[in-house]
Amino acid sequence: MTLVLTPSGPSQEAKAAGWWLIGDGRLRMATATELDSGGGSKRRRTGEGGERAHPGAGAAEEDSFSSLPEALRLHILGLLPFKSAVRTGALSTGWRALWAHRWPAPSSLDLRLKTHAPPPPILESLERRGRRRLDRFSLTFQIGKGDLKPDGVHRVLDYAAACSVADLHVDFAHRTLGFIFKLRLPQGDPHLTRLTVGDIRVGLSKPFSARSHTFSVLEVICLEGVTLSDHTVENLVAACPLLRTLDLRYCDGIDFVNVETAGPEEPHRRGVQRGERHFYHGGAQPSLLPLQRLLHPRPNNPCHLRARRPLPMLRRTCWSPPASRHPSLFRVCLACRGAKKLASGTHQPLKPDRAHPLQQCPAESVCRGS
Amino acid sequence: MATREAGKKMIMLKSPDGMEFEVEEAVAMESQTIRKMIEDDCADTAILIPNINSKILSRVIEYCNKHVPTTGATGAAASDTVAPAALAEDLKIWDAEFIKVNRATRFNLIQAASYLNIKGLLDLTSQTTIDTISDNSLEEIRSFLSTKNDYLPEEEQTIRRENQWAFQ
Repeated sequence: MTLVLTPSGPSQEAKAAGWWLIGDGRLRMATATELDSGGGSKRRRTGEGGERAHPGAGAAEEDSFSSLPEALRLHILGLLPFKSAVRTGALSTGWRALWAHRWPAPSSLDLRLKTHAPPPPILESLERRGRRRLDRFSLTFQIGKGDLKPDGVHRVLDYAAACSVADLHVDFAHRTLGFIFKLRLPQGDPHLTRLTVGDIRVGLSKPFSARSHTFSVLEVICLEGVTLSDHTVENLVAACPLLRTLDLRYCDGIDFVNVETAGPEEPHRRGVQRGERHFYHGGAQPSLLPLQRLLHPRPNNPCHLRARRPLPMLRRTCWSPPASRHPSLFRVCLACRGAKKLASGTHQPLKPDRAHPLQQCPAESVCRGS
Repeated sequence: MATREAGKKMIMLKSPDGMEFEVEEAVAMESQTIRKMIEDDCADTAILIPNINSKILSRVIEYCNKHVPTTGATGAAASDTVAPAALAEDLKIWDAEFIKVNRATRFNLIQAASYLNIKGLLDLTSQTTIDTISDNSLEEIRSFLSTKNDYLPEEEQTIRRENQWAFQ
């Protein structure tokens, strides 16, 4: 009948962002203990563990940046692109959660809309928050009798876009019924950095032109259990000049995709750690190296990514060298239930709670397939 | 107001290490903080600028000196002899030269710009930091900010895992 804001089981990311939603729909800041919970209780290298109630305060003198007043540090963090801001969390303990507070308003929202619960007027409560910037927005919903109407979902997402959201997650709660809802992707977005969609149909808004409706900073697209057409994938990729990762898992409806991609060996991208970008984890994943090589072998050749249904989806996939449209895309990842047969890949679950361990297809297997 | 017609009225700024700087009021008013003091008539004697040493203060004054005519010109009239575009280009080059300072000075300048509330200078000084943070590897950022990595290895792994996509 209705929608309710429930306490989202605070995800790791929400924790990292420092905020989550509590039962009555209010937002509350994670306490220092919660923020630190990921770190364990061991003593850190520098010894003093107790001084970290204020992020950044403990590092004291040796860190000249930390000696700046907190408001000033946050001012600078607020000017950074989302991804760079997130990365500062790994600099040192003093930086861990600092970026999450870079804007005064809670900048990470987790909404789980459920059926059969009393309805908060969801949009009104969002609007009360104002249009202040959002770093991260996660929406899990379902559609049925009395639930959110498709229009409502899009209005909620429009709200997130109006808040310049950088990291957007859209998930359908009722996996098997995902086909009843089709998510219209917006006509470009200048702020979206990462897009994750699960278990629904995805299509483009019409009319859509990759040239004029660009997602100018979108770097990572993860689609899992999504039904979408070749046309959608092609246009979406073409509209993302900075795309680095296209991750398609359990996706349906893809038959043959021609992804124009790659180009120079050393595309200079903002915020990418040199020497690490070849790997999936930021750590050594040698099995993926050949894929990287395949994506950047010689310029001026189109890259074909071919996938067929029924599962195993990747009956035939072949990579050939790339064209010039996408200087930055360097990793395309496909996985499906049958991928195991194709590859001795590494486990790479997109969501930890997924029932099926995912198999990533390293490039060797892709080659073998063709 | 008396202050407005006396275009050459001088203001005395004092750094905590005892140095005194005499600057034109218009130059000093580049700083919103000082502007407020002047407007509230708290600037009859020398203004003490706490926390900013003479070396940094002189740099700040240098910046304000350079930037004050442009603000004045745009405020006054468009009938200026120098093309505003050329002027802006000139300033840009000057700014780039101005910001070629060592790290400690830069952080001090950020602090000073923030305290004195000089928006242009704050933007200029923090831009370098922003560029460095967004374009470099974590190690390089650490050395730029002189931050030590005090994470336990497994802690660092956890953090990277939480936002894996950003570290790819």
